[in-house]
Amino acid sequence: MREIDRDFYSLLKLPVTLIMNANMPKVLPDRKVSQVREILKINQLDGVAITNEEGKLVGIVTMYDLLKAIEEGRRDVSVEYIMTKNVVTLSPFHTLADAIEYFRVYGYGRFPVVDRDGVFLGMVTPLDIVIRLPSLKKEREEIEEKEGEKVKVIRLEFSVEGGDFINGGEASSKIKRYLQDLGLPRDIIRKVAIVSYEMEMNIVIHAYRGKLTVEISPDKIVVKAIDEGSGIEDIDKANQPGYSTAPPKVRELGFGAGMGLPNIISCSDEFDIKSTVGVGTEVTSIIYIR
Amino acid sequence: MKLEKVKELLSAKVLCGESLLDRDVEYFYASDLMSDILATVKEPGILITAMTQPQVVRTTQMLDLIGIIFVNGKTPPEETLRLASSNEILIMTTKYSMFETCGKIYIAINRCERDR
Repeated sequence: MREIDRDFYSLLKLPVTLIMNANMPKVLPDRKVSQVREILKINQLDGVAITNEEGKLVGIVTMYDLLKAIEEGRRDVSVEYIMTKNVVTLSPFHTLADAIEYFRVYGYGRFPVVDRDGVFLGMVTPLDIVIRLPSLKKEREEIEEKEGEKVKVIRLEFSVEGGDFINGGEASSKIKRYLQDLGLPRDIIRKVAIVSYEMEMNIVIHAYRGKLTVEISPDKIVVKAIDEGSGIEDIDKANQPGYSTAPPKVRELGFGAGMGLPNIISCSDEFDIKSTVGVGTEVTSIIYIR
Repeated sequence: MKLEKVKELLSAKVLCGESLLDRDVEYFYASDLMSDILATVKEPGILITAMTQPQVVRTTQMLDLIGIIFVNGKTPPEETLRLASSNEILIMTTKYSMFETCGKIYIAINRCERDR
């Protein structure tokens, strides 16, 4: 099989939680039709999940439903009276291939993803798949032989573009969300979030492009950033708090104060950095789950 | 201290996350340096900053902070607001400077504690 085909097939095995839009506004059933229309307009959405106080999915409503209700003079009616209640949903265990199959079979424009308690996690639309796929290269579940036992390792990989300050941080948000879905302890998630965010911003600030990977095994999380860039001349200096080579433009954005690597080090149980001037840098952080 | 009271204290305008105004907040962090914020914040609270680019919201999100107060009357760009509203992060803006904002909040918190 050609390399590109293999990549494509591994993409189809991605969990829907990595593709879904989890940044959806929360809309309660008692919101008025006109209010919900405003929410959708501001967020540039054409459909939204309706959830109760506990975050459980109770229905969905589309821009079409809302405009139809407004035309019928029902702008002050609560959305619960116009929403679709029997909704076909996906679970976090469904893959991208499953989602595509659902779109084909049911012909609906969106599927909410809910956990086993019915709590709404995010929405998948065909557009999400098209938009999010390139930023998410591949995620593999690998089986590793470890001390005779088979251990499952989840591997997430993200491409990061140098100079992309608009999307910088998006990979780290996805990583954080993924760890939250796995139900890991809060302090572990916090450390991984800081490490991955600092690493991601380092690529955005200093490199041409790079790759951010996270490997989650039952006992540890390994975060790695590999970039193509100018490399670091003096690693000892770079590891020191306050040392920075960031240009003024970056400093104006509140970055490049020389605390990135020290932050990564203080959140890591193990830390390693390798750099070749003119080639690039590889930073590795290991955080143990105790 | 309730965020509603912080809003009053700073004559602030809430730009998004109005529903969070009844939250009680104990911790306030003031900085314009993203890495310093990442290094310092330990408990959920409010960030006070003059930086308005979307990365401020990303930083806030990484640390599970509740909201951001922009000082010097700054209005953030649309991408910042959009990112904040989709992540349920409160944003308010005050005409006061960083120094005045921190001073007002510091005095109010101490008064609250004394009254307890």
